[in-house]
This record gives sequence, structure tokens and C-alpha cells, in this order.
Amino acid sequence: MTHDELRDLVPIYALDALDGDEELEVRGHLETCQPCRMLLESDVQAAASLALAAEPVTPPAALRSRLMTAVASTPQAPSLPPAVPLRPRPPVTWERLSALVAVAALIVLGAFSYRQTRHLHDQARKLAAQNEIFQALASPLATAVPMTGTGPGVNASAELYVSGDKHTAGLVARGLSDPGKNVYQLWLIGNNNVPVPVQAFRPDESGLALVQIRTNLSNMQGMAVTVEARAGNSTPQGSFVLKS
Amino acid sequence: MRKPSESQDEDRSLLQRVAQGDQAAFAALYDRYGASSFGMALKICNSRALAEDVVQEAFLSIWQRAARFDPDRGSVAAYLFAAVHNKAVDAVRHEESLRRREEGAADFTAETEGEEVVEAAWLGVRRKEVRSAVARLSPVQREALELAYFEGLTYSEVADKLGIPLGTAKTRLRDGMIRLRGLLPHLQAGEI
Ligand SMILES: [Zn+2]
Repeated sequence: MTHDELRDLVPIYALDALDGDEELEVRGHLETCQPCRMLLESDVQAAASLALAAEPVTPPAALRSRLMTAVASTPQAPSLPPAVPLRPRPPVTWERLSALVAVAALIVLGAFSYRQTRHLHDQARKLAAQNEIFQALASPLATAVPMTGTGPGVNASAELYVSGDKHTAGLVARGLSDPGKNVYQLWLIGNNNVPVPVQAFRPDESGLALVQIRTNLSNMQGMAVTVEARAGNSTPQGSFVLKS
Repeated sequence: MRKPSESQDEDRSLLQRVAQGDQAAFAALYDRYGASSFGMALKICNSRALAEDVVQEAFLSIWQRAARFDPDRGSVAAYLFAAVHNKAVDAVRHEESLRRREEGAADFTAETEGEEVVEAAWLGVRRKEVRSAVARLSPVQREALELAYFEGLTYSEVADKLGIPLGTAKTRLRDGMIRLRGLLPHLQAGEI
């Protein structure tokens, strides 16, 4: 596609109305083109304002109570350390969004000094530039699903970043202990609540693991990580260490 | 009447409190945008049950991710509506819900007719602005945007549905969005 063709697709991208291949192409272009990123910001706001074109309808009171009950028992994902000083606010750039997502992916709150954070920030920027997965996940349409540690993984935590088209995801886990001769196994939990094996992985010495996932996640109900004696088990046999 | 910018500051401080686990702030945010969200989800899903699920899921994800909100990325309202829209479109793109849509279509009008919604004055003002902007789009632009936003269609599906060439669907959506951007006075301030 020419630049003009790509630019013309930005408003449609903001509406989430592009088909898969074009969506990826536009997303890739947005990584490198500042003028198109500027367009995207106002297009995203304009698209969201369409919500107000619909007639407002008071939701049933039961929905509010269900929601408040759910909230009372739902843990919140921790905040992320600011990648840049909060004030004065720099203009938003796509690089910064990418870097934020990648930094989000890499930084444990409080676990790194500021100096290290800056260092990681540079690394994250390189990663964002090089790594298609993280490019996809820098989209404003990407969602982050928090995962919490449990059992032997009680000190671990993770987020799963799912791309807007639900076909790409990145798991960022930290605080994982060395599994020895075992492996960690990531499971996708679909509509029928049956875990399907996605990928086995091992963390680095710092307990950090980055796992790239390319599969259809549109029916995902959750994700879980277990520790298994070997890779390739078709059902979980070991303990759960992370759950979404 | 409150100025929109104040309402936006309030939104941000509410969301900050939500990020600290403040359930009352979460309830306040829900009370603020619940009717707009539910109305939008209903229009997309054409089923009250489905729209309720969508709103619950979307708001719950806001609760979970409040600490991750980056105010540089836009307004709280846009963030919230995007979350609801995303879930609603996911729901209708799912085959099962397409079926439910057909069934639910009949009672949709009946159930929403005559219902009175109490909402903040500034939100009412904003709603009027959006509607008058939408009314000033050309009929074909409006139709294309409605299909994309409220039926969750991609532009090639819009082309199919209207029996027009792909390029035409693209142009209508693009021009409609550009015009909408120009017609919404508050967008420059990064607001809904
Ligand atoms: Zn460009």
C-alpha cells in the first residue's frame, strides 16, 4: 500500500472496522509514522463519541448490584511505574505507547531502580521496534488481562496482552521460581472450560518470562500456567501457579 | 451547569480512586456512564440480556485495569466507551449472539420506548452535540458509520450489506469520520 492508502485507513482502523491483514498493515505503519499517529488519536476519540448517538437506557438495578458484588471480590492489577515524569506531560507518541506497553511488560513495580528502569526503557523501545508481537500489542485496542500467582507460584504475577484482533497475545510473567527439570505450561481456557495447552516455557534467571502466543483467542475465558514434569501434556497434571 | 472540562477532571479523579480500590468511586463512574453504555450496548446487541453481560464485563475490566489507564491516551469516557464497544462488538460477531439478535430485535424498541433517563446536564449537552454532528453527515456517510459502529461490521461487510464497491465503503467511512472529527467542538481538547 502507498502512504496515502495507509493514511486513509487510519479512521477506519479507529472504528475497528478493518479486516485482519489490513489491520496489521496499518498497525505496522502507525509504529513508524508520526502524522498518522496524530490522526489516530482524534479518530479514536471521535469514534468513542458515537456511543452518545445511541439513546441512553437506564440499566436494571440488578446489573448494578451484580457488578458491585463482582467488584468486591475481583482483584485489581497493580499500577505501572511511570515511564516518564508525570508533569509536564510530553505529547503522546506512538513510540511512547509502544514503549509503555513494552515497559509494562518488563517492569516489576518497585523491583528496579530508576536507573535500571531507564535502561529497560531503552531496551523496551528496541524490543517494541523489533518485535511484531509487541507492535500489535501497542494498539489502543489491545487489552491486558491480569494473572495472579497461586500455589507454588504465589510470588509470581503476570499479564496477558491480547491484540485487538484476538489472534496475538504476549504473556509477561515475573517472580517465577526456577522450575528445575520441570517446565511451566501455559493453558488457554475456552468456552467449555477445558484447558488447552498453548506453550511450555522457562523463565530467565530473574524469574521473568515473555511468551508470544499466536492463536485464536476470541473464545478465551481465561489463561492459566501450571508447572509440569514435561512439556506436551494434553491436560494439566501439575500445580497451578498463575490464573487469570 | 458544569463545564465539560470539570466533568473530565472529575472522571479522572474518580478513576484514580478506583485504581486505589475505591468501590464508591467505581459506583459513581458507573452511575455516570451506565445509561450511555447500556444504551450503546443495547443498540449493538439488540438483546437486553446480552447488553447486560457486555456492560458488566466491560466495567469489571475497567475495575481491574483502572491503574493502567494512561490519561495521555484520551478521556476516561472514551476509554470506557471503547471498552464497552469492544465487548459488544465481540459479542455480536459471535455466531450464537447473531441468532439471539434476531430473536431479541422485536422487543428492543418496546423496552426502550418512553424510558426516562436521568443524566448529568453536561452529558446531555455533549449528547446533543454528537447527534447534531451525526445529523450533519451525508446520509450515506451516516449509514456507513452506523453499520460499522452499531453493527460491528468491517468495511468489507459494510460494502456487502449495501451492495457497493469496497472502495466506496472505505470512502464513506473515512469521509464520515473526518467530517465527524471536524464537527465535534470538544475533540480538540481531547474530550468526548
Ligand atoms: Zn502515515
